[in-house]
Amino acid sequence: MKVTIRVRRQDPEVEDTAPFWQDYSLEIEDNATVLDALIKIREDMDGTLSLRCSCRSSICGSCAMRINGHAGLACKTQAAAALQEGDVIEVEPAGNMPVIKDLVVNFDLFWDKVMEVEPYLQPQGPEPEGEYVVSNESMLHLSGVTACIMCGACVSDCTVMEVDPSFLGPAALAKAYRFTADPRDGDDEGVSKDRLEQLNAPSGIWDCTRCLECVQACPKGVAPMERIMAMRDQAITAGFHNTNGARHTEAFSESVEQSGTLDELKLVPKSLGMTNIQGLLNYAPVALQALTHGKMPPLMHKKIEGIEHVRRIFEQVDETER
Amino acid sequence: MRYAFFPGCVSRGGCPELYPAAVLICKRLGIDIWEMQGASCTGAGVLQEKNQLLGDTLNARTFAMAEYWDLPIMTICSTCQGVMSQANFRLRDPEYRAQVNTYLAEEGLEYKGNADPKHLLWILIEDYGLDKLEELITRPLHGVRLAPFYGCYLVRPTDALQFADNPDRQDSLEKLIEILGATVVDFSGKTRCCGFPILTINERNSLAMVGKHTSEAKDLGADAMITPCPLCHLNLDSFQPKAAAQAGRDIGLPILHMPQAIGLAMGFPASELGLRRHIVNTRPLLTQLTPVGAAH
Amino acid sequence: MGESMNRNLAVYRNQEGMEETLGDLEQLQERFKTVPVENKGKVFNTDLVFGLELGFMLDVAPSIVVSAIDRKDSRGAQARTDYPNRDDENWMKHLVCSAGETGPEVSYAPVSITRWEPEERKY
Repeated sequence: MKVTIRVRRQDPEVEDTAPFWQDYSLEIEDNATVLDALIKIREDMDGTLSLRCSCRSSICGSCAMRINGHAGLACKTQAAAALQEGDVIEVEPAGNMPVIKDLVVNFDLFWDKVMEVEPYLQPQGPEPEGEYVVSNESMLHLSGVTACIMCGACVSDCTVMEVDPSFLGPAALAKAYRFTADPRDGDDEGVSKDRLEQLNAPSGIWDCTRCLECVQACPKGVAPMERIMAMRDQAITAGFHNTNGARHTEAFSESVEQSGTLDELKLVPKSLGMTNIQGLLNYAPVALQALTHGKMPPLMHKKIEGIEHVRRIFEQVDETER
Repeated sequence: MRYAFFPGCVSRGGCPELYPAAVLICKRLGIDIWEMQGASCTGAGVLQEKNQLLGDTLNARTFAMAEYWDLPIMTICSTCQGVMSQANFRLRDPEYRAQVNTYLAEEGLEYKGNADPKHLLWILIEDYGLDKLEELITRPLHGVRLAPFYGCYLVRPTDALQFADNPDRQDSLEKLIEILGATVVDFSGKTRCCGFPILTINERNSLAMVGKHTSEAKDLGADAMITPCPLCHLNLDSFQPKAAAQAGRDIGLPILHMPQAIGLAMGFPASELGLRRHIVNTRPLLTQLTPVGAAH
Repeated sequence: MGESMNRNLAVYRNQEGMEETLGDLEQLQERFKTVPVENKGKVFNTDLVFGLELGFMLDVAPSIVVSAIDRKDSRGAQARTDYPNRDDENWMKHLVCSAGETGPEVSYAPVSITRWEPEERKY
């Protein structure tokens, strides 16, 4: 199979350090991965091409990069499936991390954030005499997160980190969940209140946009975004109601329960907090503009037909969950 | 062609211009839509944070209603579509479906697992046919450069959205833009997040996303952006002036709801499509259009 | 190197094969003396790293071969088709390989047995 690998390259040691595209045309096996192609380029065509790789079987997490614009492991991506028009595959370094050279990026910030969530068990209850014994069932839901290989694919494509590097990000937050959801961590009940308080702060769980990029990018099914959502619920359950995010979730839920649909007019003030005058005033100009253009929800919010059944479902599911 | 129409909250709420525009073009297309008056909000992913079972049950209720009518579901919102697709993906599991159905029984509903909710964009490509749509274009948008903006939930996660079985979904919006006679402005932000979900949580980040995507499209020469998601529209249009102020530059990129762009190409006047309701002025875009009935 | 080592020094080994690899390695060591490094950079130069690593591997590989040839029995990951049986009487000992003047030199060290008696694996 003849392919063209178009590599986004960058060399900090030359005069012009701007990134540039370089095309390599080569013959590869029909079942070759993108990594096989890159290794072939490095070994047979151009020894100056830099990339990280090791296991070649999606275990080590070294070869995360952007392939045709989206992050993934080069060793887990079949070249044949990645061919674009003209049999071209575009390969770029992972995003949201500074490039060291070619496809190699600097992971310092990545590790800093992982360390920030204190990725080790912190039990607060009395120490048991022997081992911490937990049931199989209470650990099963962690098998998804412990599959993380720290490849950085989720961080590469995170839409929030792109505009705000202070965001803890999907990898570190998925790691945090590994502990907040561990029955051994936190108090006697396994509630990691201290952790949740930290994660509840700005740059934490509420800053995620739920864009699903990390879920799509993760090669191991860790689904970081879903873990972030689970921690939001953990935080609210642990008593942290005083964030715009928590208020938004609760107001949203209340609106659907009461009317079946979203009452947008109430949602914004309720999310900001009804007594948050400054926050409300901040939205006044936009609201006024929307009003004058007629880009506003109707003042009277209608209930859907059969709303009583929606309310009943809310009640019944809530009971089951308890 | 008949569909159970699920308009979603925002098409009648924060973006009241979308609902009439969608109804108008469906009429012209000859698509018969029965509005689902009893369907609830999908939960938009927010309800699912709190309680996934609850969200899935509400969506199963909507699916069961459409099954009862024996009609496929049409959505006009990327978020509604994505949340429904994700719920439906989980509800493939018969055991889970049985659990969910216990909550529906009292209303006399049962979800059998046959719903296949589709966004109008997908319906046009997969069920209606773009060639048939092309026949109804009386004012092709020649010379107009449109940047596609999908909305996260219409492109991810690809397994729940069944991209493998429906490869056209990957670049559905570009295909539509071309049929409308406009030129596609490809840009890196087209499948990224508009920032709407964190508007009240971290406004600075939310506006930074609006600013980034609209500026990039504008700088690449786009005359307007087109989106199948009213939530994206809310942020990209209503908050664009604020985003521009934060970014310290002019943007002024009109944002079109997908049905509005189709309506313009069908020759409907801007007023009927609700373009006057937009925050970013659409008039400069409208002056670019050839008059209805002019040779093309 | 990889091909020759895989062919003759995987689990099943014999005298003839291992001697063949020893010869291959000698030739490769000779060729290595003129190995080029295309990348002259100082930043993440994998070309140079692999060049250096190849040299190290060419040092270590012969020690595997020389030891395996020396050990005339089968145990663990060494299954010699020419010596298929485990011989605790002569070979219950560690082989210690060190760099000599002309190549790896083998010496021996006793096995210290503590709680668990070593025994033949029978499954």
